[in-house]
Amino acid sequence: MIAEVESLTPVFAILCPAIASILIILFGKWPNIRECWTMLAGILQFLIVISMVPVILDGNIITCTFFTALPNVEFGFSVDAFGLVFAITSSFLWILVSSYSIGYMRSLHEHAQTRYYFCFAWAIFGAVGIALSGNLLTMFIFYEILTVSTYPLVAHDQTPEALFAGRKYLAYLLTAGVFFLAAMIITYHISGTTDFVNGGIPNLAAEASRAVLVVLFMLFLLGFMKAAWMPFHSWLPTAMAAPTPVSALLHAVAVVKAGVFGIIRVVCYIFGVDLMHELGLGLLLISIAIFTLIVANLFALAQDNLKKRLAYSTINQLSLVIFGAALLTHDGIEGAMIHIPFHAFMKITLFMCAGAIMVASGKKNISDMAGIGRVMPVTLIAFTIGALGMCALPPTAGYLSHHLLVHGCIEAGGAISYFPYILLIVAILDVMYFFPIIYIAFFKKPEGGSKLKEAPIFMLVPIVITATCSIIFYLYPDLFYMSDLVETAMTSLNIGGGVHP
Amino acid sequence: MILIDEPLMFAFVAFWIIWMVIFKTPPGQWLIRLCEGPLMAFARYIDFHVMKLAAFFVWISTNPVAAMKIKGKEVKLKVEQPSITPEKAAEYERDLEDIHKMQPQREPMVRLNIGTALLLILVFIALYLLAMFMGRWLAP
Amino acid sequence: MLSVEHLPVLVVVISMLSSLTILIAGWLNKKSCCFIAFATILIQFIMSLFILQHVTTEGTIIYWLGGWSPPWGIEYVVDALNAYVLVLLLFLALVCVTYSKRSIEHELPRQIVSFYVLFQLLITGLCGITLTGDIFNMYVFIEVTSLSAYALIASRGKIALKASFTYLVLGAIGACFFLLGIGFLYAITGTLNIHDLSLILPSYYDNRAVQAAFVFFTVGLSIKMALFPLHVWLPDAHSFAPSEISALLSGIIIEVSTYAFIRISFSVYTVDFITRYVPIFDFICWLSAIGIIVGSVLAIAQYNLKRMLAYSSVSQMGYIMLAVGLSTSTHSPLWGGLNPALMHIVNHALMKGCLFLVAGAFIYKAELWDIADLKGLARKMPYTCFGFTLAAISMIGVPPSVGFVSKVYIIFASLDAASAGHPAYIVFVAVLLFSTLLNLVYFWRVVETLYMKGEDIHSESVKRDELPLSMLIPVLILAALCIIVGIFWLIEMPLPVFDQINELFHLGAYATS
Repeated sequence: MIAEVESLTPVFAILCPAIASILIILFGKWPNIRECWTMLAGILQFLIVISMVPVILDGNIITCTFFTALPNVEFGFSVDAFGLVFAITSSFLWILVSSYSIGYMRSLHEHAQTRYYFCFAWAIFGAVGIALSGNLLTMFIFYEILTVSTYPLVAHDQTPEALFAGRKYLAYLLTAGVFFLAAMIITYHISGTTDFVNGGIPNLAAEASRAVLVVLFMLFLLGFMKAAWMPFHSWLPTAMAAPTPVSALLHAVAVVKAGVFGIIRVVCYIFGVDLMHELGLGLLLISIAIFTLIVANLFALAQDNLKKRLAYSTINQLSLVIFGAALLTHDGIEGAMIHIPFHAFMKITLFMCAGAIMVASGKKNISDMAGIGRVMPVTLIAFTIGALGMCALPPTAGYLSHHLLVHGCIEAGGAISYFPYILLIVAILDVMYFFPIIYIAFFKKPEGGSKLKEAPIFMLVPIVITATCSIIFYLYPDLFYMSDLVETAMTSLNIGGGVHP
Repeated sequence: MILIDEPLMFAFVAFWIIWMVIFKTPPGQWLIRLCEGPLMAFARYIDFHVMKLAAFFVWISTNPVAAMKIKGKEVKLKVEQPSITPEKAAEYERDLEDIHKMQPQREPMVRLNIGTALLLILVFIALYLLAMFMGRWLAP
Repeated sequence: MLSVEHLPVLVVVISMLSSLTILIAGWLNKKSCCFIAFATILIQFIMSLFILQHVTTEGTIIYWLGGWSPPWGIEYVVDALNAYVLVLLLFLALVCVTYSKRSIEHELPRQIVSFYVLFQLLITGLCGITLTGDIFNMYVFIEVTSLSAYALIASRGKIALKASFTYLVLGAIGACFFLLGIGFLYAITGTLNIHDLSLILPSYYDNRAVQAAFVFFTVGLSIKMALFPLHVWLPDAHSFAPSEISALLSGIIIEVSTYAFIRISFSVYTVDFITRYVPIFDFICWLSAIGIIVGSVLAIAQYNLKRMLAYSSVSQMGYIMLAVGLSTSTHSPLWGGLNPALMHIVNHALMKGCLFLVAGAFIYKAELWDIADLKGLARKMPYTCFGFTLAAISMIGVPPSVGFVSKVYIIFASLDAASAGHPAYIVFVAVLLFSTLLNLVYFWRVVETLYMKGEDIHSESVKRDELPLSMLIPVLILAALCIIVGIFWLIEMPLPVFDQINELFHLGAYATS
């Protein structure tokens, strides 16, 4: 029996970055104090979010309602296990990325650092808000805040290229927001509610015709363009013009994960697995996912710029999450849910390594990185761990989620039970573009002996922590209660099966 | 059921490493070349045309009337010279360029003068009255 | 003892007297003008708050001018709708007059006295339109408003003269139509009192003259409120007027014409007449939808900031009129009836007021008219630019700003109408969403120029060159209200005032049949 616990805790979690942003502006003249606030808010937020875990693990839901915006639509939070997974991931990684940002921004003497930290705090505000929101309206509000607040980060360099990237970013994501809005309104118009309900909104199927529901789902999909599914992915590689910490947190964790998070929310909590089955939407979603999986990897193979290659790898991995959700089976959805934090940890490692290489040596292209692993061993070992995770190889977390997805395919039965071979091809392609980087970095002879050293300590510590976490997740998936939370979410979703054939 | 894909994956990794030890170059060069060459060219082509489309809309919206005229001239030029020989290509491109330059950059809107505005209003009212009354008078 | 019943007439009378006082006081001391105007409008504003409070709790106020009983004398009737518009109008006027002190000293140093006299007359006219219960009196006040607006627009001289002349010609035509409509009604009913008319007219609904009169009213007011395609006077007039006048023109004057239209359609005529005899609202909906798109597209084409905002007003008037047009076919207590329209009237006043004031600020500081010239201003004028960004975000409709709320409500209204017998209205949903994107294009261009462009991004020593406080505070108040009011709508939405208005006109949830 699910009990609802009224509590203000989610509000405090949200308020942390909001208050921090104000303090950041006020203390803009004193960099040390300013960055202190960022770190402090990050730690505080993480603790508050973690403090909600025990209640949730007991199968309860924490709710907090402010006001009723429309009949049956409250503006308020409703924390469940799945939302908490995303919240923990983004708030924990915010702490690490703050530390990393300090190292990165100071070494490169970036301009407008106050604006940078200010917007960063608001982006986290948006991301955690999305994670904790209990209905589509609340989610939409935070979704838009996230989009707008990340624009200054993407266009941070203020070069024509960065401005173009920013414009493209906004054009794609605010357009997506319009579709999301339309989908939200139609959902409300049809069913009279926008709450996330375990197993889908009950009266959705009865109130609308099949065609309307398919269109509605397409609108939702377009609305979650943040998930960078192809062919609407091109904002993501372009947005790599942002400083690396931004790419790391926002384009491996907050922004893109908000997209796939939303898709899982829609699949499991708005439409519900049964209705998805009935409408045959699983197949639609799965074909989009497979197309993206393969094409993104082929594109990644062609990139020489490290960050661009990572961007395409992100697109690929996001589709893995969509793929899992589209399987509509117990293991598939569990794999998708758990892949959100796992991929976040591994991809952020990779991005931070790319940034560290940039700061230490100024190199952006893979072909220039010959022998760099010998002078920056810590960074490159962490990179290797992340890369192994992307290729779904043990001993990293990626192996676990991949394993679950394969089980999900078999569970689905029919033609889908052959889909593990597609995942195999995808993983092979992953190997083909990640291993050469490792090979070049460690085994190729550097061309001129330049004096390089490791990146600053502020940057190294987060890299080491996330890389270690990626391994610990393999040995002990319950770190930060991740697997327990996902299990709880799956129990309350109650998708038939779970027994492997 | 045995999960066949994981052993295969490990096998591929082993194969990759052995290949590297022997040949000192990653396997599947043809695939990489394919991706870098035709595939990326295709992707860029698509991207370029999408951007061009967006730019076209912006261009149209800056001055719809002038843009339509220019587009008309462009189409006329294309009809007049259906086959572009390589020798003529440069000239043709220059013509097109000239046409595009005709777009006034800084004065986007032709201001409506009072006469036109009055005419517009009168026509509008005539339509109003027609729509309102004709229907009623004609109705049985 | 002064009771609330006397306030409506006082609001108009003190305003009119104050304009004379300003003329005399300004002759003696130029500096006193602004303060007199400010004090008058402040008092008016406070009075209007009392009126609103009284109307919502006690009911309609009726005042017979000079004790002459209608239909012979002029009557002032204040119900929820008047009071609501009056409060908004005086609030924006108060903000603008605060802003105008420094700005007018800079822009029109020689014409301070005449500026404030005209300004006060303008306010008199606007108050009169909203308060009166007599249709001819309304015409008179429309003329007072328009005449002072012509003069104010022309006050800059040169090209503004031409803009003002265009407005004058078109405004005069509009007024003529209005007068023709009044004449038709008078010929048939022999009365000019709105309440009287509403009692007599139903038996003459079949009469062609009555129907023609309604069409004349519609056309006349459409010109006044710049409904597409009769908006041709608006861009020039708005871009060449002094900024606070632009803010008033765009934020309130065209909305007051909308108010007049609502009053005529639902008080003089009835919902029954509109739906049965002259089904013009359907037509208005489609026109406004076209206007929304065309206004936005034309706004994209502009390089002059104020002109861009002016075209954006055309598009926003489309929103308001679309909501008005939908009002007869929606029945929800939340977004049915006039709710979205009344909501967007406030929202548009706040957003556009703020934007025009900021545009004026750029002109005040450095004579910057073109968007391309605004490069890197965010570092020089951070607070002003922040205000602009908030308002721009509201215009785009990012939640939880005002623009978002009205957009959502109008979309709901069109969905409601679509499922209640007008399936084609589903197009409006697409139109509204598409216009969001267009708004994004032209507003984001400005925000980007303000924040992201400009040379020497790395130099830390950019001198702050902020506005004087008396100009900055109005901008920031309006900008903050763009967000606060948005949240307020979300929380409070089934607003009692709106309920009263709908009940009055038998709209929305109170619709009969």
